[in-house]
Amino acid sequence: MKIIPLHSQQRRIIKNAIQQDREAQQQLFTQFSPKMLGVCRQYVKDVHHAEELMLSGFLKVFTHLSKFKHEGSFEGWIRKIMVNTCISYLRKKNPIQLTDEEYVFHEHAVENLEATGVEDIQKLIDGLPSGYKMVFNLYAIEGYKHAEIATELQITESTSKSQLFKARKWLQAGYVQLNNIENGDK
Amino acid sequence: METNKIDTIVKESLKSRAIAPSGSAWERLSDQLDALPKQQRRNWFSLVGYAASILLIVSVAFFINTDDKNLPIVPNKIVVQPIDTSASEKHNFKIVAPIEEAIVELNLKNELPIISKPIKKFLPKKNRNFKAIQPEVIDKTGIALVDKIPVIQKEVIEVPLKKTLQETKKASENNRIKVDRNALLYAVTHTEVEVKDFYTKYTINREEALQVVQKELRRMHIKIDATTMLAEIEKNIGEESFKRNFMRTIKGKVTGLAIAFSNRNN
Repeated sequence: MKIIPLHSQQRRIIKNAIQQDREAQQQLFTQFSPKMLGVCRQYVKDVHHAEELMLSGFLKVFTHLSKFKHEGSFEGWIRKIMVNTCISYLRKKNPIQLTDEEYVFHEHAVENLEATGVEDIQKLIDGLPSGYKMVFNLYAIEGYKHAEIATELQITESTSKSQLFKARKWLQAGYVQLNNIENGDK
Repeated sequence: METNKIDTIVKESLKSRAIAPSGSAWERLSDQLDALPKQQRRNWFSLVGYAASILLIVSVAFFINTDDKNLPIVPNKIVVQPIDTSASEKHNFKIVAPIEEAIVELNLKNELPIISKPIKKFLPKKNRNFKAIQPEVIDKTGIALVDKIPVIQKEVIEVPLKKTLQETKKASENNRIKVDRNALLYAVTHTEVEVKDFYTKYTINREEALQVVQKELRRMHIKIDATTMLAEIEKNIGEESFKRNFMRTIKGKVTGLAIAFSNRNN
């Protein structure tokens, strides 16, 4: 019962935002900017830098808002724009490094990962090489398929798969290392 | 299974994560949005400007090209049309060097000028019907306009063509004006009787005057008929001049006229 009025309200706001209504645009920005900053933060270590990318993404959102057909989730549409903005920025800045490093596999490393805080998980992701991080983010968090990742990053599907596999192992190793430090402190 | 668990844990942890943007974030975005339409408008204006410039250049180029095409191309060639001598040979005509103009003076009794015989124009083959052209006479003193086209005179038809052509060639070589002296004398002055009366009146011997003119012309190496020259002088000298010093005046006039004639011939 409550979903329908919310949906129609969002439509109205979007319609006003298309007409360059600053208030409507601000409403959308206030509603989605925290989540979108979190998305950008997955790809960029620095929060301020992530905020710049988020603003750049929102500029695109408001410029191309008329192209949104209300066929899917509005949040998902904005999120995709943010991800693409981050990827294109990273690709321009530095070519993606597809690392092929050896890793140490720990069988029971993920047992206590659920207890790890978001900031620690983010730290682990930040420590990933750029190729691992991008593929892992797109696959594990954004839900892209390997074919889509391959197209987006202009790599082969097998490369995408191997990069994901190595990213996972890297995270495990990082978690073990983190736990060891914490245990050592205790 | 374990790797998928990592994905799930990371996804659940990060997907719902929210980071509050800085307080100035919206203001900065708002500024960027304000700048955007102006930029677009400027782009639109610049596009219109470019389109107008291109249109102007194209239309100017079109006009220039069109003008060039419309203008007739006149070849810079001098066409020399040969004179059809075969026709003249057939009819045994004499081709006389063209006479530019002749000054004709009529007497007060409305007598016709001495050029009594009509001059016939040499026409092309198709229209070879000879028509008499009467000389145009303007008041007492007029200019008889004669075309530069070769003129055929009835009176000289019997003259052999070769001899006539040689004479014509000679005349053109000497660059002299070929004039019938008697015709010119009568045309320029009055009738013969009147001229005699004129000399009798002022007690002047015309033969003496003619000799003076001939002498002067010989001295100046000018090949002009003395009688014609005298006729010109008589025409121009006023009555007072005759009274004072006729011979001296004649000498001066001969010199002036000789120079004028030579200048005109050159």
